[in-house]
Amino acid sequence: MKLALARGGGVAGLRKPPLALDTATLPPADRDRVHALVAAAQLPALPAPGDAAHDQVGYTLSVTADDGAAHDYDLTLDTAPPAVRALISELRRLAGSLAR
Amino acid sequence: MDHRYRAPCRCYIIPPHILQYMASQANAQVRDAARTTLLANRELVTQREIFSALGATAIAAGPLRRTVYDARNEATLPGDRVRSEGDAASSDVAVNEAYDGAGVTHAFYDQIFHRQSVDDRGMRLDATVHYREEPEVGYDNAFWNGRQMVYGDGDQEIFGSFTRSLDVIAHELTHGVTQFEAALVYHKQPGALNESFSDVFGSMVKQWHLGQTVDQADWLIGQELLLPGVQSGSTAPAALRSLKAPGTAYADKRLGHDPQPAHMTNFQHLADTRRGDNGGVHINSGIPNHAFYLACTHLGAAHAWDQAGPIWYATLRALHPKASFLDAAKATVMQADQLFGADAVKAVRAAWQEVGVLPAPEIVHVAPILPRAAAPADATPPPPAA
Repeated sequence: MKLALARGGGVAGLRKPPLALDTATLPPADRDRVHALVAAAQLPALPAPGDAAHDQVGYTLSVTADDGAAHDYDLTLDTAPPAVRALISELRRLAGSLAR
Repeated sequence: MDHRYRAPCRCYIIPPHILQYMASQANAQVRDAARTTLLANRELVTQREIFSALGATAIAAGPLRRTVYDARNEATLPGDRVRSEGDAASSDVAVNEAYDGAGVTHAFYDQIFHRQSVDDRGMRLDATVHYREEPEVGYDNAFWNGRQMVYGDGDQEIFGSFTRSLDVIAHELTHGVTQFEAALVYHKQPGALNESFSDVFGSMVKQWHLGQTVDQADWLIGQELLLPGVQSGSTAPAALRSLKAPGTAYADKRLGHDPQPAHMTNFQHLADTRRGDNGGVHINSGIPNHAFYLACTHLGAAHAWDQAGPIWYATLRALHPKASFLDAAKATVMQADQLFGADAVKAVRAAWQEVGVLPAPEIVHVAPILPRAAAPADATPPPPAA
């Protein structure tokens, strides 16, 4: 499974390279934890963020399964469920970056 | 339990239409309770939609009413109230900057456009400082959430507090103005126009506050946010954006290069996703931004708010939510005609032509004049070349 987290928006409009993680490169324990976090996040049920906030930082989380199926999920941290936030936190930790 | 997340719930015993009626009532307690419930109701998807729906029922015009809250490095809004209208200055610089910046912006809209707050009905101006989405990460941002301004403290490496720039405060408040006027959707070209109006009025508020002429202004957005060491892409100080020279605001190894285009030939077709900045709303805004700057220079008035400001303000009030750059260009030309006449039309049209939104003036090829003897006296002149 491959994960990528890209940031967009914000009043600065900054564009940064996405955080990327290929779980195939992880030790088994980390890989299993990430897979469990992805399952717990229930990403397909994640509602699209509303348009109310202008200049709010947003993210697109891309998930590519081992069979090649790929999906993008738009989200904002303030409305993301705790399980999604936990996944993103772990993605950031493993990707070794605090890019926002 | 993480209280920042509020699970969506559609279990409302009072139907939305009744809540909307309650929200229109004069009794403040009833009205506020209904509004709070409506805001929690995900059947109205966004706060913007809710507040726009309630626009006609907004609080009646009144004096300036500012309230600043402190999120205390959390994501809870609005946070703890720390300064209300008329209170003495705080020992917290960010609180005072948010308070003062809202006051200047309110005064600008009042004195230049006779507008009473963001909704033109005296809406209170609420702001939250020291906001963070994640406990361990400084928040590099400011935003308008549909009902209030929110400011982060920055990472303290590249960005300082987002209350430091008056033009950024005015930018956020102008998102509120746009919400109650054109309500430009926050995607693609209408979204870039939404951003541009915020930059245009943000810059104008700063210029007005400093008493600057068109020539004296720096035309930068967010210069004060950047900590020393951030490199500019020009001889001007580093900033987030430049209306005078889009694409040159920064050129820094940590931030990259300012990606804003100044002409339609460099328009960026980005995905309408969060990753794509909703279709590049903060990127392609450089084009209408530059058109405003050029209009100011061509109009020849001393200040941006003398002629260009009223033209853009009237346009903001006339546009429809899905307006394109071309729609905005045509609307400004029409408003220029109504407000200031033929010379203003010429200046504004030229500005949009120079950024490639309006077609360039046709080059008239004049056919060589034939010797008089070779053409009959009543001959029709030859048509111009294609």
